[in-house]
Amino acid sequence: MTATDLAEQAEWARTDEERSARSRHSVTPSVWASGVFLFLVIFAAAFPGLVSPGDPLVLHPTEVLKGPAAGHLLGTDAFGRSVLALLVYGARPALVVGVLCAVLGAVAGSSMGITAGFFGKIADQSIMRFNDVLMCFPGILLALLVSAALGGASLENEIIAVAVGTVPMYARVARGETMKVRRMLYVDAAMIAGLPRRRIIMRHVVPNILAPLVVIATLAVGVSIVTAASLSFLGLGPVGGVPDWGQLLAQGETNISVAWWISTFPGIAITLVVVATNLIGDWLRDRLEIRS
Amino acid sequence: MTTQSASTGDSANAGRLSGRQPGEAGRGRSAALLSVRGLRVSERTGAGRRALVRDVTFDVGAGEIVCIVGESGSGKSLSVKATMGLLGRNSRLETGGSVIFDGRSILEMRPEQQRRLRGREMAMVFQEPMASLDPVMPVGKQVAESVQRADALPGRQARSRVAELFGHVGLPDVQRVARAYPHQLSGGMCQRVMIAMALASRPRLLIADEPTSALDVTVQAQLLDLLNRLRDEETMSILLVTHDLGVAAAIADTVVVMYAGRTAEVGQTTQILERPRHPYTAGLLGSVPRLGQSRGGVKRRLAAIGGTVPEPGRLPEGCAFAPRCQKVVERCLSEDPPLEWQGASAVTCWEAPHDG
Amino acid sequence: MLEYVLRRLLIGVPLVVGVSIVVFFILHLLPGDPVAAALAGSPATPSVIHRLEAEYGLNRPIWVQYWEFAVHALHGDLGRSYITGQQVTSVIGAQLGATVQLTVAALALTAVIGLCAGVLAAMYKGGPVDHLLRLVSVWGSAMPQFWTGIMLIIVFSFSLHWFPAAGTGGLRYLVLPAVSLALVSVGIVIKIIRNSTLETLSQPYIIALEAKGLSRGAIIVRHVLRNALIPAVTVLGVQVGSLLSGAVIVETVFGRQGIGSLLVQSIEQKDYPLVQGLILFIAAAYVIVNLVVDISYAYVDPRMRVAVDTDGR
Repeated sequence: MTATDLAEQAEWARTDEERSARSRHSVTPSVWASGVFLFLVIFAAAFPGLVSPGDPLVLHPTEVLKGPAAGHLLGTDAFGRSVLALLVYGARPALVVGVLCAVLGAVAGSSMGITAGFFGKIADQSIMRFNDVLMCFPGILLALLVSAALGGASLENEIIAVAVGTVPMYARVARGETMKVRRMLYVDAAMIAGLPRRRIIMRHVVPNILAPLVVIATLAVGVSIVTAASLSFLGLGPVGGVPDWGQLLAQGETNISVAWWISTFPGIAITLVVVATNLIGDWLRDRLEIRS
Repeated sequence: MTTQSASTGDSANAGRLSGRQPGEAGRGRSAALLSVRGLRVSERTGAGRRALVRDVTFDVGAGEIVCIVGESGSGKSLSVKATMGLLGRNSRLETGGSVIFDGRSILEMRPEQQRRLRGREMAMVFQEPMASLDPVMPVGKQVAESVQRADALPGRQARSRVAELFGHVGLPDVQRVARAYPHQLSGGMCQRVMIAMALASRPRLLIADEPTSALDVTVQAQLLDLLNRLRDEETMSILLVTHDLGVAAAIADTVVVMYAGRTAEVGQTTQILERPRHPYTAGLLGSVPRLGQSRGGVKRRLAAIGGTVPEPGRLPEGCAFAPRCQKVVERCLSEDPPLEWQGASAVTCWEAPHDG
Repeated sequence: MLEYVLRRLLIGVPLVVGVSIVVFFILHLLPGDPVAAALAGSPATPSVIHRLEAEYGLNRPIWVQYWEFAVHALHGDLGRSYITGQQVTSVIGAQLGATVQLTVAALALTAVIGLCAGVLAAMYKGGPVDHLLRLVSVWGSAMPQFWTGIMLIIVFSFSLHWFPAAGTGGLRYLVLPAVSLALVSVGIVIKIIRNSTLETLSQPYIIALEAKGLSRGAIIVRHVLRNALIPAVTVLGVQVGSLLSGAVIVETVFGRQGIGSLLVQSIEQKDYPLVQGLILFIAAAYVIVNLVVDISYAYVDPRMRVAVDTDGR
């Protein structure tokens, strides 16, 4: 999933009657399920000790590469660690990366867009040309580039790399919305009244453009989790400590012929989290009546 | 009759385009090409059924021009679409009543049979001409599609038939127009293209759903003129839907006035314009601005009809027009008047004048 | 029309230049020591280090370095690999074929399945087909590509033994990678084409066509498809980018040759000229694809064509 794919991601129900029918049911079952699921994941991320059957780093050398069974519900990996425990402890880095990247990307991208939209002229041209260049990097290419430059090997590096990749998603939307608001009379009134521009932006522009950006940010969480997992999978993730979902998957790949469970379950976890955030993001978009 | 019309100096009559006088089409009810009786269209909603068209009755004779006049929401568009059998695809709509075309009952036909009538003996022209044409196909090719459906001609012959049709409807520069896309033509030209397309099969009935509402007044006059001429040349009947009384006054032989999904009044044009029997019709006429109305320096006020049109499904008991009617009596509030015929005219009103 | 094409080309050039600047500066301004990589363990005396730095031009101001790089690039010289010393361009050239094969296969799959499914989902809206395709779309675009690849290997290679798990070669080696690469894109294409078809079906001219007495089939084939598939060109063009970037992952998972796995390898080895050249190449290819899409869009949609002809923009 690329930034540009997300930016043009249309809702499944295009016609107005479908859309209004959907928002008339305040929350569909799938949205409920997503909300509950995400709550559970967040809980597991916050209190892994409560959810996990044990310490993920504990090795059971006698039970290496065993399949799902009574003792280890999701099997063990090459070091004899419980896959279920690894999965639970992996929730935190996954969510942290997802949310942080979404927030960072949102702040950076929106700032670019707001500046371009508010000040216009040279700022607009230069910032948007720069954004156009960023959009020339499809998919994870930009994240790969930044990761390669930073050298990988740490969570911060991974977060920065992924966040940079999500910036273009926001810039264009932020710019468009800012320009709409800029034309409103109350902005002119504030400027005439002599309010400093920074305050005008924070007080008047930002609250009015927040809605679509929040929708993008929600969808960006899913994209970020997948991108980060991809980077980890390729060996560009943080080293040491508990392997995150991507690294678990990588380990699963090397043992693919003998232990299918090591790759399967982390992938299911990632997919479920992404689907859940996507459904919530779509629901938010319906509720806020955004037309993409 | 001619002398009478001229001497009353009725400005509406002065707008008539052809020398044809009402009733000259010489139709009697038994010779009607299209006969609609008690047409109903209801919508199935979550809360039950909502009647959008309640009871529409009128005839169209051979070579006659009938205008259905009504405000938005009166159900006029739905009524004519129902007569073509075009509402079948919408699973929420149900059609009832009887529509007899040339002796055949349309509503009882299978969809396939209905389809075979369309584009052959019955043809239709729509309100937004540019939006009613395929935007990515040259208009000549679209008309050729109708030609080939009607006559199964090979390419070159089909193309010359298209050119012939274009000439017939007054389109200049036939070659250029045929190659053009709809957005390259003006609204008026697009409508002529649609008419040409409809004429391809030499239909016996042409239905026009607000064909001029989206166009300028001058273009409107030209198109109405064209329709009139075509009626004479092709011996075609025309069923024209409009919200504009002026259009009806200009070319109709018979006028059908609709209100809240029902026929309010049917009659020959001169009768409707000079001696309307339904209070709604009278109200419509009173609210039309006319030249020459300020006699003796006193300007006549436009008499708007107070109140608003009721929504389908929220109709009052009794006559739907009663809340806004000047002539309302006790009976109107409890009983919905039936359609009563008197010679060539019909009306649904308890208080309608009965003259000889 | 020609003016329109030239304009589009003119926009593409600064984009490619911009891309090259971004790639160059990100790689050069951020930590990571190429000299250490080049030495790879051999004894490093100051003179050796100086020599290497001079050879790689690392001791000059960054803008000068970029200028040299750009000039060389225009002559087809993207530098030499730190590890093998080979010309970057020849390394890319050698590996390109496999990736093109994979991308074309995935694109064909995406186009055929995505377009057909999208139209069908719209035509039978609300029906079982529609719901099934919605599931495919939603879940397909959520599944990480490396995971679908692994799952496909587990099921079709190790369980069913239908296809090989790794390697590059003929058709048999292409199926699983192409499918896992295409899955995300198919999901997106289905969604967009479904929406486009629904919008087309709700247009006023559809009922006019019914009034002409055309059969449902004729309306769909002669009119609806032509209109509903107009966005297809743009969507598929964007998906090419997605596919190119996804190839990085899929080639790694399936052990395939190609510039994707080459990129991963060169990042691991800190072979910066190669990394630089590869990313630049992929991004530039994407720009070119988008250019072609833009230009062909004018052919696809006659409304665009006229606008182009009348004011050449």
